[in-house]
Amino acid sequence: MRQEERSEAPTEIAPYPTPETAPSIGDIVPLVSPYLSGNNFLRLPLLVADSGQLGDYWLTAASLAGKSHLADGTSGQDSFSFARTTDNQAVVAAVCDGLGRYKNTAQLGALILSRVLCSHLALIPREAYLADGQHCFTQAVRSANSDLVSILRQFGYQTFDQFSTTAAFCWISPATRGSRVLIGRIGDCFAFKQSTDYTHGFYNYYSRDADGAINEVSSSLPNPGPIQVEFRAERVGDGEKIVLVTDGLAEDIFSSKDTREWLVNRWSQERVSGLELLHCLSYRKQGSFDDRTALLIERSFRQQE
Amino acid sequence: MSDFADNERLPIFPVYIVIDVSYSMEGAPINAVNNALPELKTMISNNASVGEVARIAILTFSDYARPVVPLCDLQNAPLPTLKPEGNTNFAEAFRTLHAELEQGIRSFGKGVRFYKPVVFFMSDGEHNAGEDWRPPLRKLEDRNFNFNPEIVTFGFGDADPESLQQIATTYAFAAKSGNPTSQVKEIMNALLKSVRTTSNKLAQGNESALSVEPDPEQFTRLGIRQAD
Repeated sequence: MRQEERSEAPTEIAPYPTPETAPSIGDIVPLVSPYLSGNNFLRLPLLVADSGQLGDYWLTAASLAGKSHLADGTSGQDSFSFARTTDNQAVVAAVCDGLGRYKNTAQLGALILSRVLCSHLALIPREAYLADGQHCFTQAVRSANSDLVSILRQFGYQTFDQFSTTAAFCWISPATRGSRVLIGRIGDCFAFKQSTDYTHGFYNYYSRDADGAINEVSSSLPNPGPIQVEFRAERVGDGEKIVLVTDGLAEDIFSSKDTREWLVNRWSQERVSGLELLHCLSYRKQGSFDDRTALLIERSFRQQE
Repeated sequence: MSDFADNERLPIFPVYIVIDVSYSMEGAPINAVNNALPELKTMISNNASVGEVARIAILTFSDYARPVVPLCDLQNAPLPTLKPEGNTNFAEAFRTLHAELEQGIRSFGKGVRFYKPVVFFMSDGEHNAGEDWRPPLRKLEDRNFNFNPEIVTFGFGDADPESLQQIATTYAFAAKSGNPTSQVKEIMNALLKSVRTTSNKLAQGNESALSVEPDPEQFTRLGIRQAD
């Protein structure tokens, strides 16, 4: 082919950047090779990740099963979900954490609840949220609770404690400056705003009970009785991220300066990918064995087609 | 105080071993306890998952109670040699335990995260001091006490099964007839296994992790009763 007919050589594609090695913090136990339990059909994958543009926002979410599960082949018990509202005015998202005492089944509760909760949150119009967000959240949670029980009954279950799960969820919609955010939770999942402008890189929506044992869970779903949603409403700036996490990761964020610095450093970039988020969550920390799930939401001005 | 630690703050699993060292423990029983303590230390050193979270305190009681090992990483602590002394005062044991629970856990830093403490209480006799032991026990078990523990009781020799049942919150065991030395050895074995299994289960995020399984050939499991 003559030179003038030759098309331009394609731009060389840069090799996938080698990620900075996730840190090891404290005295840590050597990792065991994962063992897969062969007879739990409710088992979730060890690694789950997703990311992309949803309406006006970039979402990234990832779950990493805790190292405690590697040795005995039990399932990670976290799940996440997200949706655009049916009026296209907002995005809703949820993270859920199955109670560890039900090690073979609670992940099914987390998987189902995260999805039915988002499905109900997505139905509510923006005006209703702005008028009474707490009421909307309570109604959505009650409906999701009923759906969870209904679905489990269809699978043949008559008792539901073994699917108990906690949750943190949010509704976020663009405003004149930044976004309006409503946050809710059941139990001990957490929500933050993340920005390097905050002293610790994070602003905490739910203050912790400084005393009291970790392993005493306050509330969970499904719940036959009254459901109390812990509700927060705030604005978030365009440069800030909303972060929903399950309690294992929250504990590391609260208790470890090194972990926070690692996460803040990685999360300060825009449009973190699902793969990058998985890598972020793969740090090793003394005493940290629980599943880790994070869901990040940031305003991103590339419109979905 | 900020929710965010300025340094590394690790969650701990507090374990308190409360041992009767009254005169009746003299000889083989106290020797069996003294021989088991280094095994506990070795188990913690050899099991990294346990060593990461378990923090152990050892209290003795007779007429008075005292901490002979404050709540700590036992891998780094010198072990005492216990000696028999005095009579048996449960009330003192519970008062000292109450103070040590709060002091010990707080010594890891305000805001330290901890799993529900577990107390292993072992005695070969009955309370024989003048005061009633139930009020200090109730204070210990009060749900408003942030450090209220699970209590597991082991009794052998002249221990009163009814008292063991009232003191325990989850498990109470009474020795069947037999050699006190082998009974003490089995108590310490069960304690070691429980610390290991429970620590590992907590590491799996299992909130209801406490597991205690002494040899059923040597111990009878008792029901739990409310203290009057």
